[in-house]
Amino acid sequence: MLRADAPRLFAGLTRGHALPLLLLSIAAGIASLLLLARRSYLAVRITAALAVTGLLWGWAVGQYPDLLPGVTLAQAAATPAVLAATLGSLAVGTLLLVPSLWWLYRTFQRDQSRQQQSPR
Amino acid sequence: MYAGGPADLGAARMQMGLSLGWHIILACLGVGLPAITLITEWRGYRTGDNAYRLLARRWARAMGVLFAVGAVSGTILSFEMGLLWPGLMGVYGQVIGLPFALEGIAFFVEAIFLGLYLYAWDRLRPLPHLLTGVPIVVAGVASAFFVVTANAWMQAPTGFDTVQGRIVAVDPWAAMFNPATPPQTIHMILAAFMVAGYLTASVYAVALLRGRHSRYHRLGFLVPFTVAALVTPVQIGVGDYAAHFVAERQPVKLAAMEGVFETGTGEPLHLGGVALDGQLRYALEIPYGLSLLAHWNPTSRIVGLNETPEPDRPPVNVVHPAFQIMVGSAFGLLALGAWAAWAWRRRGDLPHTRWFLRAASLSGVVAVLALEAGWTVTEVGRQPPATSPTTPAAPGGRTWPRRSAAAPWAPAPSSASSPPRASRCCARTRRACSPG
Repeated sequence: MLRADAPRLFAGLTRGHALPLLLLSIAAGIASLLLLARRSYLAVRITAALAVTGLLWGWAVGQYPDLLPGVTLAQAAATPAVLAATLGSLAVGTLLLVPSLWWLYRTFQRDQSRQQQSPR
Repeated sequence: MYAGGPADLGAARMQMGLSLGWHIILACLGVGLPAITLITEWRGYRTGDNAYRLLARRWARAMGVLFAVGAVSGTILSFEMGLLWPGLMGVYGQVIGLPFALEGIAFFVEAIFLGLYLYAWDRLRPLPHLLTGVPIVVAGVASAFFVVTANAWMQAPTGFDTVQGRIVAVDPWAAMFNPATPPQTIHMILAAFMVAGYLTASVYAVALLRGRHSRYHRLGFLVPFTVAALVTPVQIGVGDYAAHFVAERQPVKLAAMEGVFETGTGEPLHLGGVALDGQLRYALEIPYGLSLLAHWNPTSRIVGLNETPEPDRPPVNVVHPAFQIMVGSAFGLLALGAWAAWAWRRRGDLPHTRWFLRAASLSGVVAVLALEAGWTVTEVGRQPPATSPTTPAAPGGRTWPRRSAAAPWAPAPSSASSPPRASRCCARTRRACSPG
């Protein structure tokens, strides 16, 4: 279907730089199924995330330098000052978000065992 | 790709207005309710009073639901920015994109800690649990700040330069900390606390009226009402500050707000009135009132609407009544708070008459009315209107063809033909005096 409707993307995905990412995504997807069958729920999170990110990055790399047909990434980009400000803010935001998220998950994973010991 | 005509523009404005008018209420609750809930939980922690704890837990649940609904209506708005105003976003999107990106971060902080706060009541000790609420308040206020900076930018567009119809030299920080940012963000954040406080209090005022006199209902009324009543006088002062900003920078908007058609000195303040045939009729006049309020000088000059070409004038019969509704509501709420404070001083209790509770049960509706009216003044009175029917959606097209985007506060409409220069000097000079 992709080959017929979007030949350029298909070529990029199967022959270009995106192929390794696509293979990684497929491998991670198969691994996820196997891990699910073996009930190792922690590891499956990593492979499932890899499957999704592999596909997304593969898609982006596959059609680089186009963002949309007819518009390249460079044409659509904002001016360097805007990019610097936005990416800088994003980096600072990540510093806030990652520990917060870690605390969120830790609280709920840990407490299930503690709650059984000392119900309040 | 060409925006249709006045009908299409009207439809787009209507859709944007409805979406925003709904979202602004949810956003206010999202900003104000966490603080009120935390105060209640803190009181419960200090006094050991179970009613406080029950209230905090109930409000936390409401916060979760409202946050989810607000996230949806906010997402709709973010799509409407691009789908309804492609001309504006195509050209100026990169100038005002930064606050939206920052708002995204604040939103995720809010979501993460709301998750902790909501579901960790029994998993964390009381004090750490209380502290998980603090980032919700901070991120909520920050979200409001970021989003309102984008609106403030439309009132005072700075942080870019236009060369032959193309946007260059974008300074996103200067755009964010534009001259209109301080008055507008403070006014909006305080409004959020008023709306959340009075709305929550009015729920319990109704319960008290129906004879539920438990301590739970009493505290449920007292805590949010006290917060809102304390914010109200501050908000009136900030509103005065915001009005002075409008008087200095957006005289056309001020003229529409006050129904001033002819330029003059020593202008009276108009209460009520309808604009008919180019003048305000049936209004109650307070001599020298407007000149005094706008510039602290009873003989100061007020620019009238007649100096602006008719198609560019904001509609007086929308902006003038909306402004009066907002100010009137604020003073009504101030009087209600003063009544409660006076009774509390005399007897250590709320006024005993049922009329107080009746008035208090309306306070939430009145606060929302003031909110919507104030927002109507800001947007319908905005100079310049962001887009016009002739807006080409093509990249590089000017989005404000009729009027200067860069110097909407410039008194002489004839200066509208040279936005690039004005924007450049504004971007540089105003930046120094903005906080940030």
